[in-house]
Amino acid sequence: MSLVAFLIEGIAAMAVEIDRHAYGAWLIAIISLIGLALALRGYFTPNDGISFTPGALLVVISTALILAASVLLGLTGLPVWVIVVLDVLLLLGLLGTALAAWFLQTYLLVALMFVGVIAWIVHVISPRLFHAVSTNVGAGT
Amino acid sequence: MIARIVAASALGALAAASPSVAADWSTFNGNLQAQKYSTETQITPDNVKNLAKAWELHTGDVSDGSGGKPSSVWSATPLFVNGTLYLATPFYRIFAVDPGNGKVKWTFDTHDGLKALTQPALKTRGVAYWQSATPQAGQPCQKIVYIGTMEAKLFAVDADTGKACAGFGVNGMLDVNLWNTTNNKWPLSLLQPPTVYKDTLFIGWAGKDWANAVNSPGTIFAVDAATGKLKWTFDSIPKEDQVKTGTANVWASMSVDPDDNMLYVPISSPSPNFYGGDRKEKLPMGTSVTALDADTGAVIWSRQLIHHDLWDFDTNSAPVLIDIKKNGVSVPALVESSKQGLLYVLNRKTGEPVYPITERPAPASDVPGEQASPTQPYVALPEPTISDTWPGVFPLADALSLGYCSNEAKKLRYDGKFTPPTLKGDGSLTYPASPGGVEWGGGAVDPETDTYVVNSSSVVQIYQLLTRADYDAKSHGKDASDYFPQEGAPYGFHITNFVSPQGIPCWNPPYGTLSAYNLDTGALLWKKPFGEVQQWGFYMPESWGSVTIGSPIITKSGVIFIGASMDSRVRAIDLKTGDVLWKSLVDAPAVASPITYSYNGKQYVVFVAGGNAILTPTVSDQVVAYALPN
Repeated sequence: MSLVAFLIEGIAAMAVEIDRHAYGAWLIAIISLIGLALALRGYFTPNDGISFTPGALLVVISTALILAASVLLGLTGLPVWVIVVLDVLLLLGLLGTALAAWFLQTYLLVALMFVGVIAWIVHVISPRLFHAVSTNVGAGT
Repeated sequence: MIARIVAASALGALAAASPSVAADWSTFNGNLQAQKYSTETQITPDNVKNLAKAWELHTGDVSDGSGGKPSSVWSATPLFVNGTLYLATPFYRIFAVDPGNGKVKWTFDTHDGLKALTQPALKTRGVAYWQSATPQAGQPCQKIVYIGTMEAKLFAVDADTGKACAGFGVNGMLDVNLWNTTNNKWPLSLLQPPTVYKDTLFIGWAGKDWANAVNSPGTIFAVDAATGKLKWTFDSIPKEDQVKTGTANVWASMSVDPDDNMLYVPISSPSPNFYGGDRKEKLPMGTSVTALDADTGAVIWSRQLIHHDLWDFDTNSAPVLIDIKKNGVSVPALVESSKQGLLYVLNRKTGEPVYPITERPAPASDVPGEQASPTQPYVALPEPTISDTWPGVFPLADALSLGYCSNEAKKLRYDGKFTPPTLKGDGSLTYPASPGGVEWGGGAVDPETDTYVVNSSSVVQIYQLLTRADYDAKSHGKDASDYFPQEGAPYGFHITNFVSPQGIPCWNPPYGTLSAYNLDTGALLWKKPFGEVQQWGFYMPESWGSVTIGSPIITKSGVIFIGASMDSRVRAIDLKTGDVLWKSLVDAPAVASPITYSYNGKQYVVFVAGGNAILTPTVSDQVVAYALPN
């Protein structure tokens, strides 16, 4: 079973709901949505230098994955380990997409990803994660 | 008749006395001296950043190779003359276009068969233009646009109406292939427009390189511009040697010195290109620059740039004519750029070097029957556009290929510049190689500052001769296009770029540069990586540069315009510093030389973005004009 399928299955088995206080995650979601739109435009706009190239497709996929991960992080009820894995993957996705966008000379997407990194920092230092950790630790004892 | 002679003389005197620049861009290289220089000054280094697209045209004549039609290579320099922009398309049609808005005035279709008879792609480098010195009122074809085809047919079309000129050839068409006396396997393709001087067209041709040992000799045909009647021919290969070799043709543009009535021709290498064991005669005009009497075709002087060429180092661009001031003394010079990256500055009256040309020892051949020249000409000043030794293994490519590049390099024969092709091992590491150095666009010159600007590529290839049995066994499958038979020679030929299994060049960047020289001293003014390369859409660092095809032009205001690079960008460069001042994305690599002109008070810069499969698979039918906003 792939990691993605494992995550989806695990999450589907839980009762999750929107965490309206996960500001960082939702900010990343908005940024990645804009990024996805930019990436799609770059991929499908004819003769823009990167249209229909594997590189442009890569950032389409990566921004879509960032969007999915950030939406997940905006939910409550996720196990701690899922949050940690998603946080790490999200950071790698933001940095990797920024790097790819740099080499695609899509500088607006680079800027967006760096805003996303700031949002990610907001996300990880927010009380939400600590709250989730303490709750789960308490449940285990 | 007398009036015609008087008028023609007056025109000649005018041409001789006038500066070597013109407001029109009426020839392939801007003027007969091949300077690619414009006196336009509206666009300057300060305001060029404001350039915007003025108009765009798509001709519809483009092929990516699908659908049974060969792909298109569109390297056509437009002409601006007679108040009109004239374009040739790779489907061998002429477009007459309004220079101010890009609207089509008329088109002319040659109905060429659109088959890749001599080249792997449908290809053209443009049209030529002539106008009568004594125009007769009310008569057609006093101004003529010419287009050649892959099938070796030259069409003459009235420049005002787009109708065929019945008085030229047979009903407006001259079949140049009727003069193809030696080789009936392929036509004398007319991909480069003729050079027009006074009332004569000078016609060179392109063949099917690397296919045969014996080919048509490199004949230039001079024909009457109005009728197509043959005036004279010039053969670069002596009659007695034409049974064992051929080509040494002129497939690039030519230049003319109206002052002395001299025609300067860049002559390519003799066939077969990579094995000379059956053509050991000196063939002194093979791979040479040669000066001819424009009226008779008689040789005035000739200078061989490569002895016994075994590398396909065709002399491939029109010599640039320029009077320079060496040590305060005016010298009538020409500059011949080359695939081998050497810049030959010669006295154009005599062919003698302005800057020294020395004979340097060259490696011997290890191929049975072959005898490489023991020396080759070398020019140290101006500094060659590429290094004398190959750039070395690119560590990134080597690492990503797990050492493939360095291991392969050890298996190849490399004894420096002019290492001959070999039968042994995996072949010879060849640098420079056939793609150059400098390609057919050549350089541009500012005749006021004697600054010469040229783009150059840095490409490493592997040359390998194969016994006939080896050739027959290997020249099939997906890499068949890398094999060339050289039929009639004892050996076939395999050529490939030295790249890793991932397609990354195994040699160190930069892969392309743009350089400027002071011709009065030969000094290099600046040299910078030029263009960018892309892989999977990702742009590589600017310091890597790009392989280029096409050429720069220079304006009096000190701006260089150039396309040429793999990244489908067109750029404006500061002549003084080499800095990029402006760039714009077009639909495909702009492998044609750009032009600039003024029309209704506005300066335009026009790029043809057609692409060339040598650079990238991207092709287009786009013509785009830029101008400053109102």
